[in-house]
Amino acid sequence: MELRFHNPYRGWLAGLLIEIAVFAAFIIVVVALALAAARIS
Amino acid sequence: MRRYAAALLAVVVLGFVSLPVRGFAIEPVTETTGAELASMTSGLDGQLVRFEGEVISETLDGGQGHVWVNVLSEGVAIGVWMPAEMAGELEVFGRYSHTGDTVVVTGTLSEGCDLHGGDLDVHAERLELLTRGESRERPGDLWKLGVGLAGLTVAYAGWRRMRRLADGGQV
Amino acid sequence: MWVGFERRDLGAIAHYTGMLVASMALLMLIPLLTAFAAGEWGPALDYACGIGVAAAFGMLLAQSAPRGTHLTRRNALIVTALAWLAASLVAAVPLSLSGHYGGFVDAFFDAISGLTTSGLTLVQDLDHLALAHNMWRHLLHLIGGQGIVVAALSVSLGLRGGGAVSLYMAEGRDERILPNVMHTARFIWFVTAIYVTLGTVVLSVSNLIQGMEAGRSVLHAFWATVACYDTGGFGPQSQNAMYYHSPIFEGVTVILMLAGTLNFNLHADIWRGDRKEIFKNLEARALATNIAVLSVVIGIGLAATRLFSTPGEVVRKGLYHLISANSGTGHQTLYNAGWANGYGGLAFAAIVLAMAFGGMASSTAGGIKALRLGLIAKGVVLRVRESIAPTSAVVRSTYHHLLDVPLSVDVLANALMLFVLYLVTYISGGMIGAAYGYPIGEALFESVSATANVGLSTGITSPAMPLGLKVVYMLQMWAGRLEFIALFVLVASAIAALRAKRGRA
Repeated sequence: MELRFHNPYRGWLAGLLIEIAVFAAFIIVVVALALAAARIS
Repeated sequence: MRRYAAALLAVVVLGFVSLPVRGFAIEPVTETTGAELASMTSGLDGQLVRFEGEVISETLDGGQGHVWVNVLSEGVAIGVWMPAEMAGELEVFGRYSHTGDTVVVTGTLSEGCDLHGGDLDVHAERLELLTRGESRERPGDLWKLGVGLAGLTVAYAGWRRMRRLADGGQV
Repeated sequence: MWVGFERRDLGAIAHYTGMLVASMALLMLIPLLTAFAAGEWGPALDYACGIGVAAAFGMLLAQSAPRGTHLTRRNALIVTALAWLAASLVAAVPLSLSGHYGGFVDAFFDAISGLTTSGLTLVQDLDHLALAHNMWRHLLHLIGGQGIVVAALSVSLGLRGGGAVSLYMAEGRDERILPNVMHTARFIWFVTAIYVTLGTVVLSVSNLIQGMEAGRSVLHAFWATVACYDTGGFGPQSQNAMYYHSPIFEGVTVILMLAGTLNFNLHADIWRGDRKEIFKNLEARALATNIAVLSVVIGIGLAATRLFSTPGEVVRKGLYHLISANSGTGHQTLYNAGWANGYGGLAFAAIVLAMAFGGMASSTAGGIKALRLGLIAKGVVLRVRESIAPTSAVVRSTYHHLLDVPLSVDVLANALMLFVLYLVTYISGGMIGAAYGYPIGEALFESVSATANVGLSTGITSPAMPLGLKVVYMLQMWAGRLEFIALFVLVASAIAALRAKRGRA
């Protein structure tokens, strides 16, 4: 049980998908920010 | 009288034929190079430019029935957007093994193209093929192989010596 | 108190440096095979020569001590510092033979730039460079990005026992992800393999749809993926990312850049199932804040120039370069000259700041690093809280980086020291550039780009630039990648060794 928690290979696919989802969400946030900034000026 | 009429007709016809040519010539075209276009200081934004260069890309899809062709001119490659049929004549693009087709591009420069996400590009109106690209002879130097083999021999001897040392043997 | 050098130390250092150099010979087999596959016989000879030189040089150095020699921590630091130079030296051999470089120094510059995942380049007529040479240039990003040492570990070339651990620790990745170095190296390669495979597949499809031939599609996709994920910045064409004229290409590469700038410990934690870590982590928060603030700045800056008439263009150009700069990648979709002549002062400043701050520690990104910036910000807040609190109160602060850690003076001092070292190097390089006659702003941009291993350029970096400035940028790339300490250990040890010699004489 302990070993499973520490094994980073086991959850790689879920981890990868989460990372990509977070990156995509982050990009959407900064796009919104930059878009707002560009509109205002 | 008939001769007069014929002469008049000839003048009128000539005038009609020459009109569109003159109309084209009125719009100023600036002869330039890729390096100047990319400098952002050419002052040619939105103007008609003409430059000569070597095609260094395959025709890449550009949407709306258009294609992208990258043209290398004076060391700087510029993206040229054109209708797909305009690029139909292109055959060879420049790479290691080939010199690409040399072309003269006439088109409008955009330093920040609104249609293409702010790219610096040229929307072509005319494309002339100057010379057809060809494959390039690139001979190699055999002395390099000699140096390589000599190096490998030295390395092998060194590796053998180290293994003997590791096994506790004498040098 | 400086500990002097003995013959044994020099022997061990030379031995391990030699082994690392010899492993470069093995890696050159990949471009050699590329050359064979593509029928590029000239470049194949370049690599045959390079392999011989690297193998011989490496094996001769390795003779100075038997295999498995013990390597102390200090000596490991010195090996690390030297390995980048020695490996670059042999990596430059095939490049300089290609005929696309002004001389060996230019090829050496590109090799250092490649291995330090910078991306500044002095190559000429890149659009006609052989596939084999492009393979090697991009492979240098991969080798350097994953760490020469980790690369050597994974081909397990003669590095065994204590030496390997010290080498790994010396590389600046001070936290161990998994208990065993071998496992750590394997995990780093595993993450890399997943991302590189994914990126290559997606970009290959994109290139194919764009109309590139199958072979070129895959190669270009692989190179772009490696260059982005290892936050390098080389490209196989002189137009870099602009060559493809593809929003999809730009979107995918931005995600790869972000993945590449993520701390490997963070990758490990998330892949272990600790999903919340990415939101709680001080470094992730610091980097996200940094990019978010600068994206507003660059948005305002680019919009103000009126060069782009729609906000969409401002965002596409602005964010690509911002993330490219902040992650230390250096890919661009604009021409170099525009930084000085077209995109305005505010956008210029935002890019310089993004490059200077850099990505996360324990990743392939360069710069000061988000972790240090986060720590310094926490330190400032702590000091203010201390000042406001009643004198009898004890004010403490903790930060979350994998674990909850109390903010100690030691940690803070270390972060501040490196912050200052980076700053001094940025400014010094800018001054030197200005002394060579370049405008100070552009010189600063280029200096920051070199030190932070980014690779964006205002056009100063070119084959025609003065030799002295080439050397300065090479030193900056080297120092920035090593985060100074290993470099200082090398210099201090050299001085100590000289002193000891003089004392004996």
